[in-house]
Amino acid sequence: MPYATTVSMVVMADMQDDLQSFVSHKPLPEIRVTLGDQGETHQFSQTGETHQFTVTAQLPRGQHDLNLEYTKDAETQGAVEILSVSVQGWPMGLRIYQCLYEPRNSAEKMKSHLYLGHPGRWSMSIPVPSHERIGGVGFA
Amino acid sequence: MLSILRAKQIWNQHADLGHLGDMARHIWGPDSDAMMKDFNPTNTVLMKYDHKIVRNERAIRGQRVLDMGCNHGLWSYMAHRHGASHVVGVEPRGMFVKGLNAFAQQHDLPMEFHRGYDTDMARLLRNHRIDTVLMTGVDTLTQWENMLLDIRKSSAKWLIMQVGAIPDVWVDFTSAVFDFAKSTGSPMPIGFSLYFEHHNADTVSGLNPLYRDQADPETGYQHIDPDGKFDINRSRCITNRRSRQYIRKFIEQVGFTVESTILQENKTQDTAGASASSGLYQWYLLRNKK
Repeated sequence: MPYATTVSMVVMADMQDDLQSFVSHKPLPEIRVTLGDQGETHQFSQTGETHQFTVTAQLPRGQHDLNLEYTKDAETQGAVEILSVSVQGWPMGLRIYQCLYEPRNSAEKMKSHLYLGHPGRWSMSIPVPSHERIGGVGFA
Repeated sequence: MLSILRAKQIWNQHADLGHLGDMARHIWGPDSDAMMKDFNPTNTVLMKYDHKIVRNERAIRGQRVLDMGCNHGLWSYMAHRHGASHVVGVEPRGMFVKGLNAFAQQHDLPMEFHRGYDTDMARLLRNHRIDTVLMTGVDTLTQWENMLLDIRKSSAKWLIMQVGAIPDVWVDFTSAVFDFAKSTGSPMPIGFSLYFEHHNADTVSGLNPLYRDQADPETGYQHIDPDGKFDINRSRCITNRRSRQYIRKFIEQVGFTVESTILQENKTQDTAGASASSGLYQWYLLRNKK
């Protein structure tokens, strides 16, 4: 039986240094957030811009990865910071630190990073149905 | 226990799915819409419904009910649907309180919600002329004994209580305990409490009286270490659970009359709650006879 699962992430673009990005022609990041077979893509247009990604997917019981990825190949791009994650509308609090960041320029898998200084992939495991596994989610 | 099927039938007669969808939207926002579209109560929810509400309807119908630690307000709402004349829900987390008040106003329901803590019990009982207290699932986080004393001293008539009670056989006392009791002329121990240290990542850890004012007022998250600073690694909170016999003895000592008590028969797996999944729940219906 599939369970409708809605995840929202608030993400902020950070060009770190406007002058530096101008000198290095560092592009603003385009970010795609996916859950199951659903996703949302957003092209940031200025530093400091925040965007809320919201994805709803029908998922079978089990663990599923919420993924955030840079869509462009450029080695140097603006950074993004994950400000919050909520599941079915309930903020995850410290649970967002149970995540994995894999920058493309490194073989390292970094735990508990919310600031993505280099293009790469970030993921967090979401239990489904979430109301059975996360206190505060839904009428449980 | 009523069969889950029977509990579901009674649920269907009382719960309005439109109401529940509106409640969810007011609390969790539009991100809850998809979840609520196919909402079905889990077996754990139905078990709680049976033991908190259905079996205790005589203590709810026509009464002014205080739902202490009302969380998402589901049991406040179901108390209303089972005939409570007025329901007051109290909860530290603003996200729930604001959402539930908006929901009650939207449908003009006789329910009101307030931000508050266990230490507010005496004032709430007095100010809201409470007949019945619904106190379920707050025992691991609060000094609930103090609330029982407040209720006993009040004019409230009923207390519906759900506790996560540790089976007495979980702990064997060593001979040192009995030697101590003999040496002091004390009677034998009648129970125990167990304490558990958790990472302070839970919303309910915001109940810590030392740092209440630093908890997030909306969610109750309190990512605070013992020195009062944010520290993901050192942040801790402590919860506690009492033994079954101790709980029973305390209730008797305070002077409540036990109208009924039921132990959880089966462990449930469809919940994040440790008590339900470990089969620890015990429900009491207590009468506050004068």
